[in-house]
Amino acid sequence: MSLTKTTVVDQITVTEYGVVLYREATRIMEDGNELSKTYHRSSLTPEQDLTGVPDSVKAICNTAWTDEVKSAYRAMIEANQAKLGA
Amino acid sequence: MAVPYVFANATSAIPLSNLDNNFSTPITIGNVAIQLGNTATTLGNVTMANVTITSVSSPITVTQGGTGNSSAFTANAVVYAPTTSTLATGSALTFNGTNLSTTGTMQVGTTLGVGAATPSASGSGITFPATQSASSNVNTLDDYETGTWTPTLVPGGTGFTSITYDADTQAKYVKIGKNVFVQGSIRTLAIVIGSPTGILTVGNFPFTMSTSSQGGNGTSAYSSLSIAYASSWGGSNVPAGLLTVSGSTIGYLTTRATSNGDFAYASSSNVATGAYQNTLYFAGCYISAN
Repeated sequence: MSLTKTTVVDQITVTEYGVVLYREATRIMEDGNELSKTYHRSSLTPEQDLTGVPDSVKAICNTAWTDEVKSAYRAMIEANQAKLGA
Repeated sequence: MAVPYVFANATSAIPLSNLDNNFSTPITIGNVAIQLGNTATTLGNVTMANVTITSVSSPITVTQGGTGNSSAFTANAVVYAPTTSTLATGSALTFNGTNLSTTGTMQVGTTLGVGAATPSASGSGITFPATQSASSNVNTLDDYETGTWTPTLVPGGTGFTSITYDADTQAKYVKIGKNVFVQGSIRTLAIVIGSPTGILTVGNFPFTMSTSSQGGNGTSAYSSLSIAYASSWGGSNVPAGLLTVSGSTIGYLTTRATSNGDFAYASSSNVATGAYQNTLYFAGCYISAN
C-alpha cells in the first residue's frame, strides 16, 4: 500500500480582459486509486506579480498579457472606478 | 426393429442403420417440425424452464418477425417491447436505448454521476463533471464544486510595494450552478505601502461574476461582500464591501462616511502597516458567468 499526494493545475481560464483564473487539484492516491481530491482556485490580473505561480499558468499569463490587453484592463478598471464615483 | 419416437421409451440401443429410415419423419417440438442434420429450424410456442445458456460468445438477439409486439419478451416483470424499443417494468420504468425514465420515483443506492463524471465512491449524492458542462436550460442544475481560495488585499490601481499575510488569510467557496458562496478571513503581517492608487479591494475571487447578476444593467453587476468583523485598521474601519465585475470579480471595500451615513470607498490610507493588522472576516454571494 502506497499513498501519494499530487497537486496539478487542472483548469486555466482567460477572461475577456486577460484575467487568468486557474484551479489546482490536490489528490491523495492509494495504489492508483483516488482517496480524496481538493481544489484551490486563484485569479491573476494583468501585470500582477507572478512569483510563486505554477509555470504552466505563468506561460499562459505571459502569452495572454499583451500590451493591448494590459492597456484594456487598466482602462476598464479606471472606467469602473469612475462609474462607481471613486 | 422399430425405433420409438419417444426416446425415453427406448429399451435397447438403436442401431445407426435404422436411424436414417426412422428419422426421415421430422420430430416436433412445440408446433414446429424439427429437421435433423444441418437444416436451420425455427422453434415456436416453446416454453423452457430452468434454462442455462453458457459460453455465449456473441450477443443474443431478439428480432421482430411478426406484427405488433409479437417478439416482446418478459423476464422478472421486465418487458421488452420491440415496436417502441422500450424496456419497461410494469408501467413506471421505461428505457428506450437512450433515456431511462419513470412515472414514479427513482432511487440510487449511493451516488449518481452525470456527464462524464465517475460517480464518487464516498457518501451518497450526485457527482458532476470536474469541468462544468454548462447548460443553457434555465431549469437544469449543471455544476457543483467546493474548494479553497486565498483572498488578497490590493489597491485597484498601482499596488503596494509589498504585503505579507498571516496564516489566517484563507477562504472557502461553494459553487452551486451559477451561485457562488464565499467566506474567509484576511489579516496582514506587514505592508510596505509605496505609492498605491485606486480603491482598496479584496481580490483573487475564484469565479468570474456574471454581468447580468442582480443589481446589474447588462454591462456591470453588483453584489454584497458582507464584513462580519473588521479590526486593527489604520484609518477608518471597513464595514462593508461591494462585489462587482472587473474582468473577473473584485470586492471594493468601503468605509462609512460620518457626515450623512453614506458609504465611501476605502483606499490605501485605511490600512495599518504593523503585524496582525487589517483583520477582516467576510462572506458573500454572487452569480458567476458560467
